[in-house]
Amino acid sequence: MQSREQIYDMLCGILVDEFEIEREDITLEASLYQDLDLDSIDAVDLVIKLQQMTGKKIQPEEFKAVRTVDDVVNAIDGLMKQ
Amino acid sequence: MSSTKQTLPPPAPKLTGIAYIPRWIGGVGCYLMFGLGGLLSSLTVLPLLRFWPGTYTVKVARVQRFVSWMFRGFVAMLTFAGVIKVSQAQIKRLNNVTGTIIVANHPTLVDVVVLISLMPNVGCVVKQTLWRNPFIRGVLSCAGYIPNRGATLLLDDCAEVLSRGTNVIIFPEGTRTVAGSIINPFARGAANIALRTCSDILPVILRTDVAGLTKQQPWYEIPRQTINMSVEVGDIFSYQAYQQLDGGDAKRARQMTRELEQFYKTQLVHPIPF
Repeated sequence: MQSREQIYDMLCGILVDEFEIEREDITLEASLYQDLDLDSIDAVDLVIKLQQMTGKKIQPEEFKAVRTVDDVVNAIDGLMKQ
Repeated sequence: MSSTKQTLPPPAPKLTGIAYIPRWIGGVGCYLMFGLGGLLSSLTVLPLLRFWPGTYTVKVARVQRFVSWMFRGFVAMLTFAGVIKVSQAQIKRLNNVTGTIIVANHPTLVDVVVLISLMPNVGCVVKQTLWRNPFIRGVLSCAGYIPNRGATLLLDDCAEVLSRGTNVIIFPEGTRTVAGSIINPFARGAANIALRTCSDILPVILRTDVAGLTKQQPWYEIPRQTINMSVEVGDIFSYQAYQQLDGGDAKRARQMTRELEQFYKTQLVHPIPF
């Protein structure tokens, strides 16, 4: 079982490594699309990456409402608890 | 850089007073003809082309050629009305490409019309709302245009259209260039599509001398000065060169987009005047 902190750290790692985002720009409140400049294709890539790292299948519907970094952490946290 | 930088003709005089009236009527007449042409052709020629025997690919190519031909007429009308004067020395290079992403900067309202008029086999991505418009839905689907319906489906659609040999026009600026800027920041869609469908990008530079038909002006503000526009073709941005870079596609698309932006800034030099 991963803690929320571990999930957050993993997500930060992906955002920095794959999407050229500066580590200091990432906060829980940061919006993926406005603040971190992800686009819809990046979002698809992010979901794939998260699936690989968590080993969980992520349904597109679960990710539809995701807007901020916190939303992603919550979604993954929810999945890990299932 | 093999694109020979063209020199635009000297700026056209600015029409004032009574001299502007025929220009305005001509310009608005062009809009009317555009609407009428779209409506009439979707009631007459397009159904004919659609039901004329042939495979889907053949039918789509036929409609694309027809649309290109119609737009050539429309550009001739705009030229006659004195709204725009298009010069292009490298039309052959545009005619011979297939299955390539055509990227262009976006100074005016009629850019897509000019580009399609120069290319017989081209499609573009059209926003979802227009697909619900009963008047043009027919044209869009039989011309094989691509609906913008979410990242995954869009990539699949683009892959299919490009593999048929059709070129796809994308304006990475997303909307017309804001006055005072050389270009708007580029979205990464074009680079992403190139990398993920294994297609090259052919950059086209639309160089204009005066601001006209811009985003900031209402559509009925017909330019008082004829817009001189030169269509210049740059060198291919090969997807293979970027696929060799480290990192994932998301990173490569960022790099490709940065280099495209830099290319346009270097080529265009001057911002769209206010």
